[in-house]
Amino acid sequence: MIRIGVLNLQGDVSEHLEITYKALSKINIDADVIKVKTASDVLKSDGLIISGGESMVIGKLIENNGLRTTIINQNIPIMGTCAGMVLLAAETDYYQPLLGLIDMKVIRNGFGRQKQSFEEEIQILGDNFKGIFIRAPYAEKVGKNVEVLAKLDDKIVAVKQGKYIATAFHPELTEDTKIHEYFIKEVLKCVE
Amino acid sequence: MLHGTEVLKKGFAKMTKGGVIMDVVNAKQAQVAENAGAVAVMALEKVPADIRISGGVARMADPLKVQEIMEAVSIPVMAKVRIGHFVEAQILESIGVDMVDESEVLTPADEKYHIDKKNFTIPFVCGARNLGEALRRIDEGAAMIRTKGEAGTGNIVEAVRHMRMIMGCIREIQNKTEEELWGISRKIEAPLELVKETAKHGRLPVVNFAAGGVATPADAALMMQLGADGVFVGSGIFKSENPEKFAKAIVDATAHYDNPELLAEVSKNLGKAMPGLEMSDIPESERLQSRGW
Repeated sequence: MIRIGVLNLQGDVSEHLEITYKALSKINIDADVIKVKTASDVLKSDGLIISGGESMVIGKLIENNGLRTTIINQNIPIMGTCAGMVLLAAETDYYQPLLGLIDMKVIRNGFGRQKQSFEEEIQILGDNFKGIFIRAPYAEKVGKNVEVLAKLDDKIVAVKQGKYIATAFHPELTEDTKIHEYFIKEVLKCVE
Repeated sequence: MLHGTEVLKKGFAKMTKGGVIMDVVNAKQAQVAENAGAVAVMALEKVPADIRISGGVARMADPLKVQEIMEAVSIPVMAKVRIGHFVEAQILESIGVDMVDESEVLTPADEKYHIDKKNFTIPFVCGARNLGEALRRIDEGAAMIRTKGEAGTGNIVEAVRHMRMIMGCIREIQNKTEEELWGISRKIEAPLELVKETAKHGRLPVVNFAAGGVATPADAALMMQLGADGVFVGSGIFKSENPEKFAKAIVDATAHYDNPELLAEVSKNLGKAMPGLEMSDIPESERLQSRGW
């Protein structure tokens, strides 16, 4: 049985746990979903989700707990949403700790402050999706190995590089399990 | 493109879960808070401990000061308005503050009505002492609740009382029948729909933080173990002997609230916490928590 971890340092962790359970039951996969706080939790995981929150705070807590190298060396599929997208990036416009797993430069709060936060229909994985963007980042540029999954106007808001997936918006705040299902399938592929 | 929806407002609050929101009075303190790992800062003219000492009418901070703080950090910036003072809230919204705290720490502007928070694009946080008060604020549009505690005292006892009141009442209503919930809704003066939603999920319909009297890492962890989603620290950081150390220790304690070994580590050698106030030394009339209803 596969085990999916949700990094539990700061942010909307319980929302990711809930929608992951929902996605699993929808595609009829038996899996464990655990909260990840320590290196040993990371080592137990076949896939990892990094929630929304403050990327600076989550980044500092990753460093303080000595999780950074463990997460990178674990070599498992990782999905990051919003703050999680920032943390997966190789580069941002602000000085802060990063995991650097996706070859992209991310602009934090790229659409503005909370007042400018928005909901907008986007196209991803060949379907419509309700994009919830909260002080969201976007990718300003991506490397040639990075697949762009979604754009809003000219801004890149979802990407995939190998087993790493990042979205600038929050699928965990919707009822739509599509993106989590996609991630779970990615985890299954890697376990095989 | 939709702005200011319930999902966006409540979603913003959800992103602060597990974090520490710190009171700051200038750009330099805001940077200290950000470096220590604050999830947001609350921009103020004076911290509650100083408001308590200086007396007089406490109002919204100078918008220029709030803007200086917004420019100094990349994390969200919140600011306080007086209870019922919707124009102060309009002003803060216009300069782009990320969240407004309709706060009993400032002198109330309206003795009868809180702000109609649904009229705003930006989200609000409000204080509460019990479940009824929390649900009334949520009904008015609050996207986040915090305990009132007793601000500026460095004494956790009131925040504990309020968190226990709220969580205890939620536990009580979880096994009630439909008819019993009607009665509870009338008794606690809260809308039936919100009472039902709370009973069904076993938690408030919005994020619920602790505030008012948090002074040490252990205080923060205590509130988290009692069920808080995160912690506001007012005077506790910049009135302590060593703000940088206290700030970082409280951030770590909030993230690892259920790990006593780690709590022991981060609590070591911090220097003096802010001086505290015994509740019996504060006359009823000077207690901030009794403002609002």
